[in-house]
Amino acid sequence: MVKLTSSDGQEFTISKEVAYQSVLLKNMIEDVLDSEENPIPLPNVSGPILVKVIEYATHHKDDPVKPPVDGPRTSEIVDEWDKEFMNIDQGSLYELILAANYLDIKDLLDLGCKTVANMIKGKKVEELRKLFNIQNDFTPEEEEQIKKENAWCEEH
Amino acid sequence: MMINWSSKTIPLEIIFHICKWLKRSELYPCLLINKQWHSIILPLYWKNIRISNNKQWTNFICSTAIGKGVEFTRNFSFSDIKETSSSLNIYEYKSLDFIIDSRLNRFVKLIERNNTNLNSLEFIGIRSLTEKKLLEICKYCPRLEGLYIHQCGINYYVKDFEKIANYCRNLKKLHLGRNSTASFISDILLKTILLYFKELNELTISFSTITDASSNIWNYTKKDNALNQNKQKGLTWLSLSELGYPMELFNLPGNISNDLFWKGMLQSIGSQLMALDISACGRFLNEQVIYQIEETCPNLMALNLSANYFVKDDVLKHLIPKLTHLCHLHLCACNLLTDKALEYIGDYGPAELQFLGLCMRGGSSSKFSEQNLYRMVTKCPKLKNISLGPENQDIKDKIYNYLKNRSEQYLNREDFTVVIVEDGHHYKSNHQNSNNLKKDDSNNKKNKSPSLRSLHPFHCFCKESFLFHNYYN
Repeated sequence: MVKLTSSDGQEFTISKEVAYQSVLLKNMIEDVLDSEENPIPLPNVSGPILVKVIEYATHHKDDPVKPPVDGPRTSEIVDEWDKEFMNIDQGSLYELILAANYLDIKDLLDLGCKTVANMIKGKKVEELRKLFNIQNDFTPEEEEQIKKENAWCEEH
Repeated sequence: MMINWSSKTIPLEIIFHICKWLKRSELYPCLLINKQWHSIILPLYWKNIRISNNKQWTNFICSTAIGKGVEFTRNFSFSDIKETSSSLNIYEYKSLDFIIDSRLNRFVKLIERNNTNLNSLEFIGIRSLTEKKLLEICKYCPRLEGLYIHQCGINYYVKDFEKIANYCRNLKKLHLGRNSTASFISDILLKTILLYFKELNELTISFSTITDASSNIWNYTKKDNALNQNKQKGLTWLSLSELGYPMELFNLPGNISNDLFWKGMLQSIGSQLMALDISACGRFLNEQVIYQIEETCPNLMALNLSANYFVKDDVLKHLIPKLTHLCHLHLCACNLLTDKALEYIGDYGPAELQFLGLCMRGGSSSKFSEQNLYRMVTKCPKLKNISLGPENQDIKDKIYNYLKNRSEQYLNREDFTVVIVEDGHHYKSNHQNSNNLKKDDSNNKKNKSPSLRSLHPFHCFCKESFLFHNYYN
């Protein structure tokens, strides 16, 4: 078993099998011998998010290793469980992606990023800025210039 | 809770990870979100570029956009093949030439200024692309790995290819279709190509007059050969479409010792070949060569026998059990095939076969019985893509539905297409248009989709090979 401590001091005990889904934890466990005694501190991951991460890693611990994806990439999420798992508010989604990136769990990172990509689809610039709460820092002239340089769509 | 996604805390790579799941058209609005997103997305947005003869084309090169394109683009495709017409209209081409010529010059200037990272260039139907211009372009593309030239104004000179080999030392794929009408690939040119392009894995030499029977020339591209010092893969993909055709067309003299030619080639590199295209080789090919292929090419995964009259039912009966890895088989316009051929394929049930081209030319009715056709489809466990000709709409629908149902059970639906090609449109560009086909089933079935093109066999096989390579490399 492996012990983890979240940023808010909560302690979690998980099996090695689950922990090994994270490349970061795998490396840490292999480098440090007594991880069963001393909890691994995760200062970048809060308790509620770590719960989500462990839920994901537990569900997928028996997944076979996926072969590299053939052909064009698609943002479609096929797995029903994954879809339901991603049914969370934007704040948690954001933190979950950061945690997946920090812990180096590729499948979870992909899942989170696909979810955001699907939110982007079909939206106009203004809607996107609103969605992500981003201020437009272009001057009207700069915006015009970018449109001019890139306003060309390939055939679909 | 609202999160400010542009705040300094979000790692740039996360934005990149999100946007890599978007298609080009979906990326466009993201360019304008703010400066941070713009800087990350711009290289993604310009990564793969395909310019073709459509509405946007007129506005394109004149803008500064191509400057960006050259900076970031890795794959560049330059094509103006008409979607709708199967024969080329000279006047239209001439007027297009005039416009394209100035653009091509602009393109050359731009890549001259920006030291390019281009690794793939495709020119199709650009008459104003001469050998001189091609040299200029290649000079500034030192990282080029793939070069595709079809229906351009290039004359072949041995010296030019020596220079290109010197400029583009990493060239792995060279595809030469039909170019300047009186220009075809000779023995000496083939020898130059094989000798100078040391990294070559894929070669198309359509419309050639090669007769050289000395197997010696193929040794340059042989895997792990003494001559091949660097132990690279060697030639694994070879297209000899329309071999010998110019000799017949222009009444050229030439001693056609073709049996020796095939024997030499197959014995030198047969065992390393994964894909072989010998479509439309006319009397330069015969049954005996097929038997040699069976013996010498056990690793073949793709074979194009389209438009060859010697391909009869018995040849197939013999061939299919021998080539156990075959996943692409093109038999389009092999008009001597009959219903028996379907029986043989069905009886054997090739385990790996995924693509089968069966579109026959001529005649308004099919020579294949619906019963056998359907049976054959059900006996090929991995089949997911079949092209058919003048068969009844009912049987096409039936096959389409069968394959669709099967694909839902155990195949990834995304990479599944059934293509039914109407008579006269023998070849399709799967690479570019597969998205359209997938999106709109009804359109696909009615054959009204503009995505079906009439193309030269070279292009057909070339495009198929993109898919093929994505799969197996």
